[in-house]
Amino acid sequence: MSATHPDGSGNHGRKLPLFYRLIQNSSASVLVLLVVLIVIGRFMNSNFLDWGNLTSIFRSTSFVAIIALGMTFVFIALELDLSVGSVVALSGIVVGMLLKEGVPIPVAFVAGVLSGLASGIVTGFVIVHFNIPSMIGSLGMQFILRGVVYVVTKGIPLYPLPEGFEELGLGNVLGIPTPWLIYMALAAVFWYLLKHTTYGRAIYAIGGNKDTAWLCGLNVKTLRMSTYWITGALSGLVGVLLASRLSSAQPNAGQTWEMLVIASIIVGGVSMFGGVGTIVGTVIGSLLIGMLTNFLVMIRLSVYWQNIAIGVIILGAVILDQYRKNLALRMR
Amino acid sequence: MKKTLGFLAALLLCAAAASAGQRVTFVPPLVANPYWDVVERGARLAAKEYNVELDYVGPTQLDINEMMKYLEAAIAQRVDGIATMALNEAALAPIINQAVGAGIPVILVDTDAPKSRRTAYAGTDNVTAGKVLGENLARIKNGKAKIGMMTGALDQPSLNQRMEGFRQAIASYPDMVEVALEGDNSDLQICIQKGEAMLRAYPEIDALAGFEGFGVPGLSRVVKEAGKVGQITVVGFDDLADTFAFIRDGTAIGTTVQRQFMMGYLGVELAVKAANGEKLNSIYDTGVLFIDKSNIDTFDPEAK
Repeated sequence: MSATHPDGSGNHGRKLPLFYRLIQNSSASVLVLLVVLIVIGRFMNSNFLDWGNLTSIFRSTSFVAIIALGMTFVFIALELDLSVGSVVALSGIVVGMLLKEGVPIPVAFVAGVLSGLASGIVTGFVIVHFNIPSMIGSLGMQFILRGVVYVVTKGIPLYPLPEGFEELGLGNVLGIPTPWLIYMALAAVFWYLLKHTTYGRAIYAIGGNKDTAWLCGLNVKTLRMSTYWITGALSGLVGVLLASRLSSAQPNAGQTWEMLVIASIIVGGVSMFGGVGTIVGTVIGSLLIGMLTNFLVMIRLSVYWQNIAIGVIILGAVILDQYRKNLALRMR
Repeated sequence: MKKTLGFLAALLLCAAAASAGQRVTFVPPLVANPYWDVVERGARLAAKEYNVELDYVGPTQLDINEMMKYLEAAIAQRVDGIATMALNEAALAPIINQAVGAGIPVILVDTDAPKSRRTAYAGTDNVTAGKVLGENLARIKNGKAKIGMMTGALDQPSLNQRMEGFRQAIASYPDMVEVALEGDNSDLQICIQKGEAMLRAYPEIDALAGFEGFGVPGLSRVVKEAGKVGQITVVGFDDLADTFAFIRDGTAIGTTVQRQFMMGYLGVELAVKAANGEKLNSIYDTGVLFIDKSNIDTFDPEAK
């Protein structure tokens, strides 16, 4: 066994040619595709790289991208959380209802995040304690939480919300959208957590081989559950940010987002089979998936063709990455 | 033996209870949806006034198969009347015919299925509603506009019909031009995202028309955040709370409402009347209104 880092960057210490290092880097292919799309976008529409358009992309990308940070942990641990979109709606409704009751914004903010964390705790407990497949366990939670939202709201958006609340999702700091700044900060935290802490290494370990990890003395059950706590809390945060950005709490918020989140991380090089993935890859994958909506409108592609284009780009990203992996194996 | 007798007695009691009042099943294409909630309130009022038992049941996401299951269950229970919406005429016509064949009147609301044997239809067809929006936009823009359109899901018949009517209306004005069409899947966040991109990709746009309920709230936010209130005319459909708020503050000019409370009311009323042997018309027009600043304060969505 060569000393390959679980994040795919092998051969520590040796200085290698740039191309070789690029091929070995799990984020390289998606980065190349991202650059290609940006060049095409700029070529087809000279306004594509305007600061105004970039901030629009950054702001709208932040929401799914924040959840993708957590889903990276979930996938590396060989778990699956399909409930994230429903958690987004739930926490939005929680924060919306509290604000309408006159609760101060910071308190409502915290309550929204906590409602997400609580959902994640339940999801993790159900899946790990009853030892049921994570796909079914989290799908059940997806239905239950969305159902709770419909029961509480009867499908009607909560509007209006108090003045000032929209500042969080709609505001800028030094010209940069606030949700994007929050995302960048969280990405740094989770990058450190995954790559440089014992906890992060343990997540890789249980995703690589649960039995070995258990034999090594890791508390596999708690570690597995903890990944749902992360997605839960992050989805809760996103629910609050989205309600703020939309200055209303929408019962259908986050519907089908689990697929966008999963596409973002898989395109970013996270493995479906556990044990492999990086935060850097996830960030690039999230940007790629997140900018597609804007990109396809900006290049003026007919709305009837947009789904085909999205499918082709996602497939292209994954095929390109597979090609890179094969090349990297041969170059070892 | 005792058990069986008890069971039979219970069954008889049930049958007696059921025959005491009439039962109507209302199957909307969506429950827990702002538009259909108003329909439900209309249906419940009629059920109260006519003293009938109302089952208001339907799927939480558009799903024709789910709708068919609810309709089949209603036929199996031999309810006195059914009210529903023809989400897809081809798919629903056989089951509508089956109900009518079994002696259960079927009232369609919102979207008609004229080729089926349905008893009656109550609503305004979406093509007409689209025309009303197109005519009003032409009036507001003096027959000259470059229009960005925002629909929901690309395969939703009601939205496609609204667009068809809208396009028919603007076709008679040579300077009313459709510049772009985007779809937001009935998601406010995507509506805003695509609306922002649309204004950048097509800077010539001076009017935005939303065809699903989130159109006016989403596109109004886009115009407001871009600082283009007054330069870009926002119009659309339906009556969400923020749609009205944006009309009141002047960001949006107007919205087209189909009186869906009346549709719900008529759905139940006509079903009861048909069950009692009354002869019905084929079509009941519930009308369509264009709401702007001038009439927003007198508009009552629950007026009969």
